[in-house]
Amino acid sequence: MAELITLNKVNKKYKNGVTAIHELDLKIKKGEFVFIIGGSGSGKSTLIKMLYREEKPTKGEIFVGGVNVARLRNSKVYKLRRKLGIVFQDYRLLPKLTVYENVAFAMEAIGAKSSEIRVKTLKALELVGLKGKIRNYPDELSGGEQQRVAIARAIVNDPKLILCDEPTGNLDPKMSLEIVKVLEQINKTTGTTLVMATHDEKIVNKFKKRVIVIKEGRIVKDYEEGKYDNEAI
Amino acid sequence: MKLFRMIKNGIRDAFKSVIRNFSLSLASISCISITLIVVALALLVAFNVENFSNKVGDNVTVVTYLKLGATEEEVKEFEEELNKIDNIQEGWVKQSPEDRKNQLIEENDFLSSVGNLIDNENEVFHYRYDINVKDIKKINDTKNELTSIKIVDSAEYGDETISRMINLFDFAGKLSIVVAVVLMVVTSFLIINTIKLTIFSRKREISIMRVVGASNITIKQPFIIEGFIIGLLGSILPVIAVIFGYKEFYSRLDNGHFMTFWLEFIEPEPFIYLVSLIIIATGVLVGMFGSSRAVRKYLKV
Repeated sequence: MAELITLNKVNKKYKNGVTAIHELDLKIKKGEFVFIIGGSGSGKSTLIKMLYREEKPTKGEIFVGGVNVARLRNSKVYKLRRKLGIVFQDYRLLPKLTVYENVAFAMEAIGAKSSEIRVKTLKALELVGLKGKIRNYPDELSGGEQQRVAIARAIVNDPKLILCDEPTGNLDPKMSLEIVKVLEQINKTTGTTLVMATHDEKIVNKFKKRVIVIKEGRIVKDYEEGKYDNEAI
Repeated sequence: MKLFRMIKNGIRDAFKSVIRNFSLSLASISCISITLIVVALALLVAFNVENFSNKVGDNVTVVTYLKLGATEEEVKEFEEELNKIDNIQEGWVKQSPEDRKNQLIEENDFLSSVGNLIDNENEVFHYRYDINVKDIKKINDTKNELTSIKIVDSAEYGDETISRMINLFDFAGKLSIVVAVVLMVVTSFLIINTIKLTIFSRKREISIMRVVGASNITIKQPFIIEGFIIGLLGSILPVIAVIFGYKEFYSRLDNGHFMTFWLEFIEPEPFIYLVSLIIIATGVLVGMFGSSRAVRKYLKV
């Protein structure tokens, strides 16, 4: 299968002098489910941020779906983001909008037709198991449910790649498991590539996916069907 | 269709935020209203001064006499000089000493007998030129230019108070334009602050829009529309003031005239609609200018 993500000798040095990523090479194929693990400050979040061009690498090339993200102009970043779905630890929902509106917002923002918005939003909410709560507001939902709304928002535009930055960081183990199950199901049924930064040991051990271990901005281990490698971290 | 939907959403969001930040929006709207009232006054004065000037320009004549005994060559030279002066209307009227003698003879029997006694008219009568100016405001300069020509004996125009008054109105008009510009700058700053507040209050929403791939135009557009709406709402009061105020003022005049025949005001219709249009355009432009400055400054994408 062809590569969806390719990183060639990527370096990232922040303005405060901290080097977050060192000479990083990485390839991720289409349809893969990848865990990126590492301790705090290891560079996993920076890596994810560079993939959706929130951060620009200081050196090196990053290809996402054939586009050199490192060289993408600010005014064109939105074109990349439309092909991505992004899930954050803090859900990032709009508190004044209902579940349905939060998901539909992602489609409205890119100017989709209202008939299309309706169909796709309901489908996405069905996929994450929240069809019964479309009229609720985020603060009426549990953390796990809120994260599922965020996942629905991430998948509603049919992305090629879903990036998750510690999506289970705020959830208890049971809910975390639920969330990753939903993500796995999306990966399996739609073939969407999934990259998830996490330090949730139980989750990584349970799902037996590709595990990339990052330490001090370098890839130290890359397991095909890995476990949470505490020693490497 | 897509563009239409985006604009529709932009208008909806803009109205929402005008209501959400109502107190600051109201401050901006009031400030823009005051500014536009001054702009309206400036426009009303400026247009009417222009009107007076045109009316007076046709009625006030600079009567110029050449020195006695001017030769034909000197007269020719003078006319060439005359044509070089910008502010002079074409079609000035010339009377030679002979014309003036004949005029005298035609006047009545007594003068006719006196006139017939004159055979050296060149030494009795001056060449006379009746000259109209294009811009009455500059009539004094033109008079001085004429007097500075060697062969000219004198150049005078009738009522100096007219030009003084016109200059006074002109000054008032210019002063109100300066005040209006200063107020526009102040208003722009207030609008920049209003939009800044909207941007900050919608920070979360904007960050999510960026994440899901909304284009820069989609993100910026509601704020520009907000500036447009503030400008538009701000122009309502000044427009009403102009339409009713000027009509009322005009109805109190004696058939559009004030004091003298030349101080004739412009008829309200369609004049007030033109002024209203300019006011609305100014309001909207100031609003959009303020909001685009705020977007450029506080909404980096």
